[in-house]
Amino acid sequence: MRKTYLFRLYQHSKTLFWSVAIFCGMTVALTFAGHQITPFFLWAMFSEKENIRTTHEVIDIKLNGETFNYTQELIDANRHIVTGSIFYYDKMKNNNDTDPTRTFFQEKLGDNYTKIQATLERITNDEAQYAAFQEWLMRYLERSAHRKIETLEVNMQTWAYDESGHLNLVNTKPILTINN
Amino acid sequence: MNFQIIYTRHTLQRLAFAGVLLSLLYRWWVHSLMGQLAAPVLVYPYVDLTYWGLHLMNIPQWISGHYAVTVFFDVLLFGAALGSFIFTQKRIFPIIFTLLYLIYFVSYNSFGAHHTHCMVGVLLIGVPFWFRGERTFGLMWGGLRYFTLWVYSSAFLWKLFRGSLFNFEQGVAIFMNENATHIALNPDAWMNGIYAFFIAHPMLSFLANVGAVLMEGLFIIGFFTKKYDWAWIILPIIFHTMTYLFVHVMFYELLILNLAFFGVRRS
Repeated sequence: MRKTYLFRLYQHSKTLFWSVAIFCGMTVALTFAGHQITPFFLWAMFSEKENIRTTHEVIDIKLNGETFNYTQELIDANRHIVTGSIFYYDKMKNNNDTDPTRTFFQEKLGDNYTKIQATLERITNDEAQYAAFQEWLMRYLERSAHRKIETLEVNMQTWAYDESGHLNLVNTKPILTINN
Repeated sequence: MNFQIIYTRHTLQRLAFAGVLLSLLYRWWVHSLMGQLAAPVLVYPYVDLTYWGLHLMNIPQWISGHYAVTVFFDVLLFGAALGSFIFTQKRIFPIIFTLLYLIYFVSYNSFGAHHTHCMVGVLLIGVPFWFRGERTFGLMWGGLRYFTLWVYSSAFLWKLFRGSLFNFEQGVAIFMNENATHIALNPDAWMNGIYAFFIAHPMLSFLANVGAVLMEGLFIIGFFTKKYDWAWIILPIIFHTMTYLFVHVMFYELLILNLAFFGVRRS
C-alpha cells in the first residue's frame, strides 16, 4: 500500500493527490456513463459491435472534371477536415438542412429541449453556415490540392463488396456542385 | 528482463517537445494548422461540454475567422513548443503550449466534424512539465505513465464488455468499412489483394481483430509492475503501424505517450 503511486502522491502533496484522484474519478465515471468531456476521454473506438454492411458510402470529389484522389493527395490530418466536414454537410442536407446535433437533443430531451435550445443554437450550425460551406470547401481544397479550381463536384457514392472481397459501384448521389 | 530507460527531466522535456514540434511540423505541412484551415464554417461540438464552453465563448470561430489572428495563434503555438524544447527550466512555455494546444485540439476536431483522439498525447505530454520540483515532476510523470496504460487498457475493456471482442463479424466488418474508400479510389493498389483476402476469409479477420484487442489488453499488466515497460514502448508502435496499414487509422501522434515509460532520474 505504501509503495503505491497514489499513496506516494498523497504523502507528497494532498492538493496534487486530490487533483489526480478527481481526474481519475471523472474519467472512470464518464467511462461508465459513456459520455466524453475533454480531457476525460473515452477510448471506445471500434468497440461497438459491427455487422457486415451490404453497402458502403464513399465521397467522390471531382476537381475541374477530374477525380481527385484524396486518399493519395491528402495526408490524414488534412483529409480528415475535408471528408469529415463533407459527411456532416451531407447529414445536414438529409436532415432538412438542420444540424443533426439539434435533432439528437430534440429526440433525447423531448419537451425539455426548449431549456437548452437557445444555447444549442448558438453553437451548432444554421442556414448561414450551411450555405457558406461550399465556398469554404472550394477555398480549402484549392490550398490543399495546390491548384486553381474552376469546377468542384462532390458526390456520395454507394459501393458494395462481392464475395471475393472486391468493391463494385452501386450508385452515385450528388452532394454539391460549384462552378467558379 | 527488467529494462527501463531513465532520463533526467531536462532530457525528457527535450524529447517530449521534439515530438511535439514534429507533430506541429507535420500538421503545418498538410495544411491543418489554424492559419491554414481557410476559415471553416461548420462546427461540431456534439455533447462534449468542453467544446460547448469554447464555442459559447466563440473562441474557435473568432480565431479561425480572422487570418491575422490565426497566423499569430500558430506562431505562438510553435513558439511555446520551441520555448519548451530550448528553455527546459522555464515552466511558462509548457503551460502556454498546453492551453493553446487545447484550443487547437477542440477547433480542429470541431471543424473536421469528428472528435479524434490521435492528438491527445500531444495535448497532455506537456502537463508534467508544469510542475516545479523534481519529486513533483517525477510523480506527475508517473501519472502520465498510468494514463497511457489506461488508454490501451480501457480500449480493451470497452471491446470486452460491449461484446465486440467475441463478435465473429467484427474483424471483417472493420476491414470492409475502413478500406472501402481506399479500394474505391485506388482500384489497382497492390494492398487491395491483401484486403480482399482478409474480407474473403472472415475467420482470419476475426483472429486478426482478436489479436489486436488482446494486444491492448496486455497493457493492464503495466498497472502492477514496471518490469515490462520496454514492451509498452514497442507494442504501440506495432499496433498503430498495423492499424494504419490495414484499416487506415493513423494514430502515430499518440506514440508521444510512449515517453511516459521512460523513467525519471534526478539531475
